[in-house]
Amino acid sequence: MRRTTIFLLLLFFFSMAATGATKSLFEKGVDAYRQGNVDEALRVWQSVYERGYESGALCYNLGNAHFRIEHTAQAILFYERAKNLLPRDKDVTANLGLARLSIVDRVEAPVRLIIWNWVDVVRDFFSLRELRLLFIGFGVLSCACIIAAILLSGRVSRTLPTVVLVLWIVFGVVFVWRSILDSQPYAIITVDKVDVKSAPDETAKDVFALHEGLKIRIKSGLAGWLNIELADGRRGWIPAAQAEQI
Amino acid sequence: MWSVLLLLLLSASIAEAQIEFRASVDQATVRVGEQVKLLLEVKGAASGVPVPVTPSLVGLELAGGPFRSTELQIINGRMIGSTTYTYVLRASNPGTGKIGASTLTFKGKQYTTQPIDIQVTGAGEPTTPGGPKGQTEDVFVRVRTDKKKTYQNEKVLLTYSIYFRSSITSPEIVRLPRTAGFWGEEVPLARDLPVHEEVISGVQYRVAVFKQMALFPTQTGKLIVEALTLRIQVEVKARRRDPFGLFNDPFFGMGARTETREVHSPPVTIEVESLPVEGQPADFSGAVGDFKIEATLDKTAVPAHEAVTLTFRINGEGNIKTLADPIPEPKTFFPPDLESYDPKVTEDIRRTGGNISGSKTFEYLLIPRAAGVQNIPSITYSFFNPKSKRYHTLSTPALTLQVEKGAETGGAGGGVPVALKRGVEQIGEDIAYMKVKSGAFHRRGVAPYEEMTFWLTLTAPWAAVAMVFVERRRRDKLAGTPLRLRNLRAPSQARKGLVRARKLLGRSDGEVFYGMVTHTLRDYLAGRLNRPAEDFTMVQLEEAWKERTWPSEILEQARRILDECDFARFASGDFPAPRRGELLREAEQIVEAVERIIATEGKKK
Repeated sequence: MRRTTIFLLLLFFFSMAATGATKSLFEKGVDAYRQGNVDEALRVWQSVYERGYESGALCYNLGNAHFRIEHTAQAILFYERAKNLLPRDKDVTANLGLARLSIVDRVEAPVRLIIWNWVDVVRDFFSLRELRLLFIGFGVLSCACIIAAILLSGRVSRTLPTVVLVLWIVFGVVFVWRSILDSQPYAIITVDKVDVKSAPDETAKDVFALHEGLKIRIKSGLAGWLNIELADGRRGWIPAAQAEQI
Repeated sequence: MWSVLLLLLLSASIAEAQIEFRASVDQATVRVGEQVKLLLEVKGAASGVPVPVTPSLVGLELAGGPFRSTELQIINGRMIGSTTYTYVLRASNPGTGKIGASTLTFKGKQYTTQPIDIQVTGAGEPTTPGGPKGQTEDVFVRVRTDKKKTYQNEKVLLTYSIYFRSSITSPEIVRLPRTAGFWGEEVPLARDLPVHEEVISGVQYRVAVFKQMALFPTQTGKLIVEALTLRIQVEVKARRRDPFGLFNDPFFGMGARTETREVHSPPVTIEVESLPVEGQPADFSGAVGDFKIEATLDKTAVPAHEAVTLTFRINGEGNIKTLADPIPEPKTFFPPDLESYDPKVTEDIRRTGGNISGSKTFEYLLIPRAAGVQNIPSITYSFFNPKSKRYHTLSTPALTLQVEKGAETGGAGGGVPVALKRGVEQIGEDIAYMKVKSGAFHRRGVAPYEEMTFWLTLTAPWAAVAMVFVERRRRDKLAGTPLRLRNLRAPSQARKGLVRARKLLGRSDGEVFYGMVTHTLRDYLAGRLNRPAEDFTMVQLEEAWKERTWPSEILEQARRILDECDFARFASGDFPAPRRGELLREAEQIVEAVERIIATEGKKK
């Protein structure tokens, strides 16, 4: 028991130190960018990202740096990542919109009931991390209400526990839904042009071609190939190196 | 003063000591049997010049001479002598006649002339077979360029000279060269053309520069400057068979007549290179040369709606005339509150000594439409310097204009009238700036449900709920009676008991009836007050009652009924039947009253 405690404490301190170093690196990048040294800023931020850390601001700044040196696909990729982490940030949405202007392909999503758009808006209003926090938080609150009801033997009102319990269920459903969606992630085409094949094979027939910056959904993967789907439902295979997962 | 004098003396003595020794012929091509005059000229010494050594001759033979003539000239107060030895040579064989070098020793120094080649043609052939035609003519025009290869917009200086041996008068340019692809600028020359002498393939000519032009190519590639035509009066002499040729001199004026001739300059090809792409600044607009720029505002503070003039002056040497406007897009350059108009452009070009310099001025009229400090940003202007072959970028300082509130803005509050208000104009679009705060960092690539903490925080509260529930059940069991259950069942049990009591109402032995009423009421109250039914005494009833805020009349009534029942049971003080009925009704009333109270309490919560 004691050993476990010491181990957990050590783990905590190590993670704190790592976060501190990450923060100072991030600020180094901010200084470089402010002085107009975009390449240096990009290099520093990239090193933070490659250390295995991410934050919404980091992804957004990486997007900005890539945009400045005209790496459009990378800029879109990082803006999309930033949007996953900061879904309600106006800067991220605006810059993503600007970066998307240079996308060549236009994919028409099939028309659907407008209510589904609203559902999407509600579902994507929170980031997955925020959803988890809400789900856990309302779970704890529900339990607290139930315990209070048991201890006070029915002499408390039922309205508050009911609302809390319903919210817990709602956030739980949304959280699980989003987690399931994430198991088929999106990706961005990172090369100028990619020929989409009918099978995971170089000799397979070309079905259509996609260009830099387009967002696609990865349905599955097979030995260096990705089975992708467009917003209009068309499917095909591309080499895994020609797209990067958001 | 002394030093100047000394310098003069010194130069005079040098002029005395230094002589010039030159050889020239009057024509470079002759027919066999014709004569050529060889002149050996010694310049710079007034006296004591020895006769030079007669040069060796191939294909020519000496026919006469040397004849000596001396000339004295006074230039700037100094006497300069010149002695000419004239040899008359006759061409003997066709081919190339060679006149070798002649030497002269003067004051211990040896001077040598250049050898001269003479073309000797057969008797019937024309005198001008090959070779540059103009060179054997009496009068021709040559063009010199200061460079053959040039950059676009870089200056090329063209110098037109006339070469003549015969005396000429009244030169007149009848056709100027067409200079397509150039911007040309005339370079003014002195009114009287200075004449100097030049020897071309041994023939002495007098040369005068009569036209100079500075050209700035506006295109790239091979550009051609076409011929210039000059009309002149030339004195021609009748060619006479004079064995010595001595009397051909125009000085004698014998047999001379004038003739009008048109002389053409050869066309000139200039190769124009495009400016180097490497290192070319983004704002480069074709300025080539060496420039400076300045920006001035005529006023630094003005009331709104009053005009100010912003002047950019580009000063220097180069293609002044084709300099581009320093502000290509005034709409986006000036702040939106400054109304700008097209600039007034003036040029001031100076042409001196083959240089084209001067200034170009761009005057912008600006009208500030709102009060406040208006910033005019700095501008950059780039030019290519052909000397250093590099681009340079100039910049002007940023200027500020203090705008005060105008006199006639109108409106009672002194604000801008609604009619004059404008929407905020969007000038450009760019990505939003970076974020300075990092926010919280998380490990990436780990789904939330893959983390241990998620499952822990999700399940732990429910485990707590389960534990609390189990504990509660255990305590209830320990207390012996499930109080909660009894509490809930109390009303129905009470009603059942009271119904049974009603059946006993008419019975003769009253003890059973009173016992039923007492038990029913006591069990009911104990259950509703969460107390164990055993040993539920009056004292406990009162204590439990006090914990709630139930009305005390009911308590009083209950106590009275229980007392009366006890009195009837144990003191055999039976009541008549109507009193029994009253007791029963009162007991029912108590149960109903308590139920009502509990119901209202439940609603309140």
